[in-house]
Amino acid sequence: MSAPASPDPATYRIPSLARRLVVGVAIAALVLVFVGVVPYEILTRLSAAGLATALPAQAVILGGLAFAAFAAARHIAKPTRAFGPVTIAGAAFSIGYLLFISQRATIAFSTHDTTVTLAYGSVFVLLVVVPLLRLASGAFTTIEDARHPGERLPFDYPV
Amino acid sequence: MPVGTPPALYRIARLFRVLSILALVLVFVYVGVAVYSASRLRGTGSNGGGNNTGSNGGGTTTVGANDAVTYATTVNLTNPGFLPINALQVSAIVSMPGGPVLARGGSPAVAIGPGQTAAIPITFSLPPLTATGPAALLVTHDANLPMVFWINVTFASIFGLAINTSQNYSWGAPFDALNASVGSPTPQSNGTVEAPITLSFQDHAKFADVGTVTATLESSSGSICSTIAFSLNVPSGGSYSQTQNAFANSGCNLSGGSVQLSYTAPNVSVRLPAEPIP
Repeated sequence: MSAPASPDPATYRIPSLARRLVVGVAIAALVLVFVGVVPYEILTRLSAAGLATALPAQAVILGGLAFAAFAAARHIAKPTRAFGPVTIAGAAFSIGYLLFISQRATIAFSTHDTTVTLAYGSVFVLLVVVPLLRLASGAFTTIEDARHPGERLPFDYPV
Repeated sequence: MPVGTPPALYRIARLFRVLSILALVLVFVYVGVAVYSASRLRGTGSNGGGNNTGSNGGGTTTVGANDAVTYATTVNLTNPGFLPINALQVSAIVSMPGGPVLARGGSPAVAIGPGQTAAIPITFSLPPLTATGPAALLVTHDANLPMVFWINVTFASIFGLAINTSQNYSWGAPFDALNASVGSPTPQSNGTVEAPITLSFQDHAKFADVGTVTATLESSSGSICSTIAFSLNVPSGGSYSQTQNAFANSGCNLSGGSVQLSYTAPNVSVRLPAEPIP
């Protein structure tokens, strides 16, 4: 059986590595703000207001950094065969992180005779569907790249 | 523009990417709707008042056929939002001050659909009011009984709320400051001995004392010398003091004996603390 034909290079234009790096860093910064900094700030303010949270604020920042790194790596590796595995790794980390948060997602408030505890971990369990779908997407992309290297480039980077 | 149809595996991967974004949006919308709906929950008041309120528009306090005191109240909760309250349950315990648990109670698990109002019945029973047992003191002494409530709610299947609160239940004794004193016996011409018995108490409970207190004079050896009955119709908050004469056989030595008291009413029979005779 003959090897699959590579797509015509004239049908796609891959951004340069330098450009992908710059955009990747910008994406990482955005992700870090929304997934790391904002939740960290919310948790810090809740604690300052006397509301006890079981979720460590430092874990949120570290999780945000990891998400940012995976987002940047996905963008930079998109034209390569590493794109699928990076997507799978990022999705797997997301699943683990969401399950970690779901076990600690509580807010408690106490007065001298009353304690109120709100548990919202099920929200994060529900969100696990998102990285599961992403993981499937990464798996199919990995298989596609293994069977037909570069075949998706004209559709990911049309001229 | 790329030539031809995207490869099948690529299309499948893209489909999963789109589905993941769609799922993310749906989850955020659901959580947003849940938060909005939860903010609209309203408790529409109760006919529970605590403080053994009798039947005067607050919680209802009844003395049952088994002599147990049951406190019942209802809390109405309106759920005008879009998502259901899956399970709401109240649990409560009442304890003696610094002592054992007297009673446990609460409500059944209640589900309230969107746009519905539910009446949540809350009941707990105190043990029979007798002269013995952990609740003995409550027959003749007022008390502030520590109560602890637990309220657990699951909303929209994703949010759980647990509330733990403590308060005191103000108990008024139905026979507060109970006293049955025996006056000086007087020999009678027919060979009996007349002994005046003065029964007094205050009804601090929120229910009336309507019934009969039977006073039995017992000698120091435990033999029954005489029995008389005091008819009661004491309203809540009222007081009672009455003297009646009991006639005992001359051979009955009351000194060192006791006055055994019992209270009977429809469906109620309560042994009251005995009073010693000096």
